[in-house]
Amino acid sequence: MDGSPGVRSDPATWVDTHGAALLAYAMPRVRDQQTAEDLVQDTFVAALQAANFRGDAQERTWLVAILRNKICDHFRKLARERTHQGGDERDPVEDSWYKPHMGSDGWAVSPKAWVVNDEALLANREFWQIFHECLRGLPSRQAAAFVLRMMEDVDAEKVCQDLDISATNLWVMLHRARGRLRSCLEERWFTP
Amino acid sequence: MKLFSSCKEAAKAIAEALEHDLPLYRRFALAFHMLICSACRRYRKQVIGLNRLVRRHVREPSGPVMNLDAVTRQRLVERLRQANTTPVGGTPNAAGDAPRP
Repeated sequence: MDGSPGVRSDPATWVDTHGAALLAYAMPRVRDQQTAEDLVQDTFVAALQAANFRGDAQERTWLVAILRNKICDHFRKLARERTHQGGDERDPVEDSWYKPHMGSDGWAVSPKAWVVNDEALLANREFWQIFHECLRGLPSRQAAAFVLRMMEDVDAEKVCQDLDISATNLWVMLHRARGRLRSCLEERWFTP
Repeated sequence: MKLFSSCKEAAKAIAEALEHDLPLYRRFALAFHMLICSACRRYRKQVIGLNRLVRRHVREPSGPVMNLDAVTRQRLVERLRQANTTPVGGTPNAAGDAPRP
């Protein structure tokens, strides 16, 4: 905080040593390059101002831990910006997946035939590009729930607190988020 | 959930089962629905597959980490320099206010 010797690292060295790795960590988790850069930036600043900066081999791990907090904060903030999309009221998009069929709700359009091939998709940049476009299309609270719970692996209880929702709301929101992502990817990637 | 549940109910039960164990009778109803409904079997396989894929995506960075391109690098360095020279205890918003090229 006060310019103690530990914080004298040259920013350029920091960016060269850790910048690419931190950005690579942030990119799959947030929606765009700009946000990822901002979060990496905030991480460096927080690290520079931290009194316990050591500059040893643990530096990367420590920076990633800070970055992870920044990412979680980012999604919590995003989720609070608009409060009207909870998991409790009806969701017209969810409703549109089904249509009454012989007295019960069947699929309006049956899921098409495709399977998730991990090995082929993990390394496919175009696929993740489309995945992120689909993620961007989600209502912000659904996206926040999905990223915190499914990507950051935050405890369900903690996510409920952060988003100020009940446990039931959480899985309903995750259900809607997954369903939206599934249809978006089906339409844009698996069976275009 | 009835024994003869709808696809809508089945899809919700699939989602709920991913978060916590379902009570026995609902587990049974879901299993029964899966037995008779190929569309829901497909749906379940796909959402569970996507869950697994996303988890692997964030945990197993694929390929070597790319170097920063020169523009991004410069932008980060500049912003960090500014943040670093802003006296702490003055304006606390040093990080966010650095101008972008």
